[in-house]
Amino acid sequence: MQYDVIIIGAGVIGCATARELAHYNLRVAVLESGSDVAEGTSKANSAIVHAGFDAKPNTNKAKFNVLGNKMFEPLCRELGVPFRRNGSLVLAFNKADVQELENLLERGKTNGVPNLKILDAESLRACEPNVTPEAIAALWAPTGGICCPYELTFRLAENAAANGVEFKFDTCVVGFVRKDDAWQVQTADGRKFTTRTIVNAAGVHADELNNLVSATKYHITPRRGEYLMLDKSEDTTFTATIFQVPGPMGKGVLVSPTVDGTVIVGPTSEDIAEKEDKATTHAGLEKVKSLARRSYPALPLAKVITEFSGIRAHETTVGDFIIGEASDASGFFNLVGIESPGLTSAPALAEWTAQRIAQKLHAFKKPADAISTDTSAWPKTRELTPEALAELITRDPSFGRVICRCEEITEGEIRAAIRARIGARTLDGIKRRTRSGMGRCQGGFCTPRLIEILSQELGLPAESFLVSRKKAPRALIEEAAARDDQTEYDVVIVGAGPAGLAAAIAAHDEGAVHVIIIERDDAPGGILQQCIHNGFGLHRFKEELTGPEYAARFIAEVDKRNIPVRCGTMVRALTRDGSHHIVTITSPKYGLEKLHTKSVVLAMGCRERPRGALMTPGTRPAGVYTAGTVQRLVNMDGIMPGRRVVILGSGDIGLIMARRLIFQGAKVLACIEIMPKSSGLMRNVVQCLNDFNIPLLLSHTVTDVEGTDHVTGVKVSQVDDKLQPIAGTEQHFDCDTLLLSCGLIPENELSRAAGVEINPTTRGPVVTPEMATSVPGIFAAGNVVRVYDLVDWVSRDAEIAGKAAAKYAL
Amino acid sequence: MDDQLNVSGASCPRGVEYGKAEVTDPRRTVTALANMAGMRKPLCVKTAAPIPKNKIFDVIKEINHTTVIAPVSIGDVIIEDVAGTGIAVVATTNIK
Repeated sequence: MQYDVIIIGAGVIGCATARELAHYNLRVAVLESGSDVAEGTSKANSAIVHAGFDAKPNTNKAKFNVLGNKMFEPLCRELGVPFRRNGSLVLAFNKADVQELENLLERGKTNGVPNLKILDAESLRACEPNVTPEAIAALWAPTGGICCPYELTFRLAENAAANGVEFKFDTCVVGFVRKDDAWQVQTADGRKFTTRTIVNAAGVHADELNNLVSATKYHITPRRGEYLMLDKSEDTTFTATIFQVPGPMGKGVLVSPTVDGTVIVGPTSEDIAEKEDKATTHAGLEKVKSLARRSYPALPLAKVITEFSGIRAHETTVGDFIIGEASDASGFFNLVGIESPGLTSAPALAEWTAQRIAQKLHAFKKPADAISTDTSAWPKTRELTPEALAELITRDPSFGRVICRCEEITEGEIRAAIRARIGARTLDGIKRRTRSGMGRCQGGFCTPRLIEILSQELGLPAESFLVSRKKAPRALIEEAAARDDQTEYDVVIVGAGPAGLAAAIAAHDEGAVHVIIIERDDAPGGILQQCIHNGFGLHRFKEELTGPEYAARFIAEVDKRNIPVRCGTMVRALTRDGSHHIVTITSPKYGLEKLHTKSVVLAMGCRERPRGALMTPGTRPAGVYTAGTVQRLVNMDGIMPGRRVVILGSGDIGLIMARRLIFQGAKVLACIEIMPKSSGLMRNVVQCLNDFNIPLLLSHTVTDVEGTDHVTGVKVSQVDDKLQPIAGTEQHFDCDTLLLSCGLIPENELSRAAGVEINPTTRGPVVTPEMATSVPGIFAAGNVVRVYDLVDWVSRDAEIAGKAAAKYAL
Repeated sequence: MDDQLNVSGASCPRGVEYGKAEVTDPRRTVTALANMAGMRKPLCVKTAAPIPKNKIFDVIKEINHTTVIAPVSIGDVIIEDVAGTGIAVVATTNIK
């Protein structure tokens, strides 16, 4: 797949440029290293639309500030984003300051800023009564404004996506290769994208990307600004944005209303070493307070609801916006050093850059009626009239359930934010799209509910949203990473249990480049995840590991090789297309997809023989489980199914569960085996039954299950050498749970449907010593072939299969 | 095995050692579940070395009453000295 333009960075600059480019007949993608739009400077800044008197005349900053300021109002109206032209005031505290106001006025006029005026103390106080009496004059810039920078970024991105721009998150660009007339963009996780042009909108990292391709080197010093946010209140503190004249005490801080009714105070300005260091500091916040009190002596600290800091991309070699095509890297367009007034300049920078790219690529603009105006907007219930709100709730009751009481955000709004084209996948993502959690309780009440909704909408366990507020859960990242443009694979592996993991590693190491594992569970590891007992890996690693530990070693190797694992994804069909195999998969997020591959490794494992297959007579109450089901319930979900347990069958899982249930406080009355000897390993009989004096009744079976709703007991009889119950040998056990451990069956429905020949004895595919099945290009590994006693041998044979599958593909 | 601790039937040297220990000082590696704070999902753990067999239930009890706060990584020490055995209990899975 080849793109015309790849934009790196989904901040306000990248998204505005994407939206402009979407107006042309171009194939555009945005690659973002974070999990969401507006993850960098765009989410933490002063949110000011500057008038333009501050920038040095004849610089890019001056030019694009004034242009951007004019474009802001119509843009925000089009996108439905809040914007208010509240005007800016710069306060002067002494004569030197007043002289500086004159300089700013002149500079502003030169830059083309309209209607600038100097106010005396009296007129200043007339319009802003809360301003300090120390202020003796002020510069009034009526074109200054305020907006919501992340809402703007989000709507720009939604509208770009509505017009065909693709967004790829958790995609960190690490390199470029110039190939013929195109660029190959390489990512940290080994993906490659081909494009004719590149837009470098990587914020604080834009210098690093430029320096990879150009001999003209830039250097960005991250400059941190700390802020305080004050709660909404009835008395509006200020109408305008209050600046201070830059003086010996530094650049000064601003105090400004926000479009959301809160008050923002800050920022400090501190050059720091680390580009992602967004910590706030005691010293920084003290500085914000003391500087803010110069303008606003009554600064009400009791109203502070949060503090935060943002990083500005301060470029030190040029000191201006660095824009346009790099002179020695054809098709590489820079947007480097976009610090203040970057937000204001964004619409103008985007338009300018898009025009230059369109020229270079000879693109033409789509007709106006072919351009969507959609921004995935949803109703903001707090802005509706009571009648409109009542009507909305009647149509969709979820808009009647308030989740965030501080900001009055409803469930309907939150679900809409998750379901948008570029939907929220994190707590922060919801917060910035809806304001849920941004109010005075800062998420204290709504967080558990938000997690519940995220978990439902995205089909992931609630815990996965607690790992990070801003990084999407691992499963989503892996899913997204697996969804690069690659639909042609060398080897597709079905199942991420021990066999699938080992096969993937071996296939990769044999030289297969495009290997992918498809897994229907939420996490890799297969059945090992629930096998918390030890005894795994004695042969492989010469030490005794538990199941999760054994799996983790292989998962780490898979991760190291950047082999994608698509969890929550089910293989539906395996078909042929000439020499290729087509693997049809479905997932909640992406629906149905078809992967083309040269070879396939089947590693679906096995399932337990259920009660029905045993034909045990009796009632059909609750309380009868296969051993593996209980193993998962107890070990992974923390649920105990019963207290008095009888185990039918002495397979290894049954034996191990006998001990597990004892450890969890249950009583295990007996283990019943129809054969004259246990089918489990000797060490399990000793360590799981004998250690705890659990009787093992050989040549016995369950002849009756009692209980209507729930198991109340079982009858057990001795069997003869034809395995038939012997009359008169019945004994009764009062139990509430019957566990079945009566054998495992290889899971081969998919194999059969693909035409793979099955061995009727093992119930697995007929395989060669290379683990090739009867269908060319389809290999099999692990318990899908035959039920193994030891995982060590599964790994060994799966490596043979993976290697052979890679050889076949290459 | 006879009175002189001569082990028969072992198929490897490890078996000989195991056989002797089963008589003189039987030990078991215990795997069990501790609790995760704020989660229903339990944390699987093991003793870092085999503990005396007669201490199994003391060890289990202590583990079952232990609550851990995420994140946890494989090998993290959950209990330093379980049930006075001098042996640690370590996590056997990663929970973020």
